[in-house]
Amino acid sequence: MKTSRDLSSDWSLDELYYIAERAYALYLQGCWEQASILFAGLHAIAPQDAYVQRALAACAQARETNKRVHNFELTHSDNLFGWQQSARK
Amino acid sequence: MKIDYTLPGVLPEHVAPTSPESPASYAQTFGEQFRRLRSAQKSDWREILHLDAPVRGADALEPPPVPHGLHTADAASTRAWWRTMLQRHSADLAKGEEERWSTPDDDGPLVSRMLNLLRESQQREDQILARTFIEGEA
Repeated sequence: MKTSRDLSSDWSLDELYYIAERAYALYLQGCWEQASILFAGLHAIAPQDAYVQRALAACAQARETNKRVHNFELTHSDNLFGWQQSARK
Repeated sequence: MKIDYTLPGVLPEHVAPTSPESPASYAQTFGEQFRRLRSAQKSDWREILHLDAPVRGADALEPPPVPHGLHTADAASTRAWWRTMLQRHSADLAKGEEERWSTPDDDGPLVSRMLNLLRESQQREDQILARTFIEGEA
């Protein structure tokens, strides 16, 4: 029976590279959710790969920043200008 | 009567007496502290959200390292390669799904999600190319 640790034997280096390249393109476009899905799949296939680990961390950070901005916009969408005025005082 | 509280042989370390601060120096110190506090106040929403610091985003991640002897091809061959690759791994996944992902700590769903996303992406790419071809013909 194959386990997740045997996955890398099913995949060639070229395949892993092309998927990583596509994930990187998504990352550059700001599609961090999709990039994370691809990098998470690659991580399941090659858990020791340092590049994939770094990429997952970078995606998580980008998503966190995006979430912060989104929350801010939700909170202050009604009175964004007024909030900025009071913050300057 | 004077009481000596120190034990013989166990004397405290000599500490230089601190000079009492003059009112001027105290005011200066307070002013500095106040200015420091004022400057530390966050007045911009970018600072509050920690967005003023350069985001370790796009430039934090370099492109993936190219493996030696990478097989490169033209666009049409690359599309065919993607299709074949996705079909092969999807078939593998479907065939051995029950036995392969039966371990409690398996990562199977992650690979499955990755393949689904790649398949959708491939379909969209095909649609765009088909539309471009049709519009070019018209």
